[in-house]
Amino acid sequence: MAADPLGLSTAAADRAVPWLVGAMAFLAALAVAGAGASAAMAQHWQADVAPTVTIAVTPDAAARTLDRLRRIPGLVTPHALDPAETAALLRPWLGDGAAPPLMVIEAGVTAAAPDSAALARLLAPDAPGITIERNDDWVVRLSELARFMQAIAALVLLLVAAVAMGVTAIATRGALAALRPSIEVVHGLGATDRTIAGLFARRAMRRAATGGVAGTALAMPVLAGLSALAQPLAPGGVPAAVWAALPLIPILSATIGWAIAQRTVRRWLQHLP
Amino acid sequence: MLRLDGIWLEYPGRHDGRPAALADVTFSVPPGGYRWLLGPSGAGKSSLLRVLHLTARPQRGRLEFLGHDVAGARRASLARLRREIGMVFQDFRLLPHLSAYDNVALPLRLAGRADASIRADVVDLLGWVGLGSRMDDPALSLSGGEQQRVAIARAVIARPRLLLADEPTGNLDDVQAGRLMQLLQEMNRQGTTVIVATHSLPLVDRYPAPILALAGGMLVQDGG
Repeated sequence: MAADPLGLSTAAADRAVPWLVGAMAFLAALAVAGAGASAAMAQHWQADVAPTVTIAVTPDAAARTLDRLRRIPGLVTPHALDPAETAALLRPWLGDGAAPPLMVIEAGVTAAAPDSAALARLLAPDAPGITIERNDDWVVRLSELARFMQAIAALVLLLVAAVAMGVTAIATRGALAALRPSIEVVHGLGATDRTIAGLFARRAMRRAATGGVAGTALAMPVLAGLSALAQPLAPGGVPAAVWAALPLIPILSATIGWAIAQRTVRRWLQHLP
Repeated sequence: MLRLDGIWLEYPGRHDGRPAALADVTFSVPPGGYRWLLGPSGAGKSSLLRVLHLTARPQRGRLEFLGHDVAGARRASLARLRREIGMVFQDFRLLPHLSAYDNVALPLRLAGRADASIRADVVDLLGWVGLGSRMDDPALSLSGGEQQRVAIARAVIARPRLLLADEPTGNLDDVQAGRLMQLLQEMNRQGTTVIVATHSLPLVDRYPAPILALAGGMLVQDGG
């Protein structure tokens, strides 16, 4: 078979395909990295941040509160922070020499510990107006945020795939319209639908793969930069699994190009006798 | 080889006052037969050739080709039957971006023959039609007569069982027209069934054969 018996290379309809697929691949790479990084970040926080509860009380209620805390199951080694240390922490807000108005008590938390609201009720008789902050509350919220970001990333991937499919289908239909006379000749010479669809599909696959490789390659330095910026929040940055998954994007782009071109051409050929 | 029974062909959306492009056309051609297809412009010659080429499906009637009921055949099975048919179009229908060589080689490639095995056949045939020195030129760079010769070479290269030609000498000088007619006669002698549509009565007189005559989409003479 001549390399291009239908003259597909002369059809203008699919010239934009590598650019558009490239843009989609770029977005897909960012979405994959975003999903992977947020999952890794959530895992890091859950694994490395020991759950503690921090309670701020007035100095006169500190002793009673500590005594009560030691009798509540699920709380581990409640202790008051050194007032000098607390003062140092608050110096940026209160300035030099100002005594901290509150004592800070910290305790480890196990699964048996009451939640913040229940703890507040237990402590209320001894220390009205206390403030309770559990750090695993915001770890849970951050984990939920990470899951939400993963869901958004999955949605972005679906949208990107849908756009790539649409772009390929429109370009293929344009090429079919432009090359109809040549297709009819080849069809009349005895070419099967499989042969004709294969010619279109191979070209669509090559062009989608070109765009996929370019878009993914372009995303890599961006991801490397983001990874470096995210180091303080997620040591290790973009996980290795994400870097390993990136080569799948051009492969997926090429597969989409091939499959959509096959389907579009075979449907169109049904109109020929 | 070829049997048509009550073939009726209409083009959707065509409203030129005629009931059909082909109306109740019935005839048969035995293997190795030769027929002239005559009729004024618009009589239905090209439509009949399209039906015989299996590139137009009649709405009614029965078409039998090489023992197959084409009208009732699955669409997918028609490609193989089309490879048994050579067709010379009035307007050549070459693939413009391909060379003369690649145009002629295409039917063999579609039949699955390897490039190495087809080169000698294609070069010989292009030499025979006088285009040996232009085989690598793009089809569009050839003159009308040269394109016609490439189209003829493409139609016969795969040694089809049925050869159809629509005004095949229209763009050829007398010498080339004579050579083409000799080729058609020779292929017919070797067993190829040939049907040639023409307006040229001198050509019909010079190469006598049974006549199929169409008028207004109806077969008005079946000399077979």
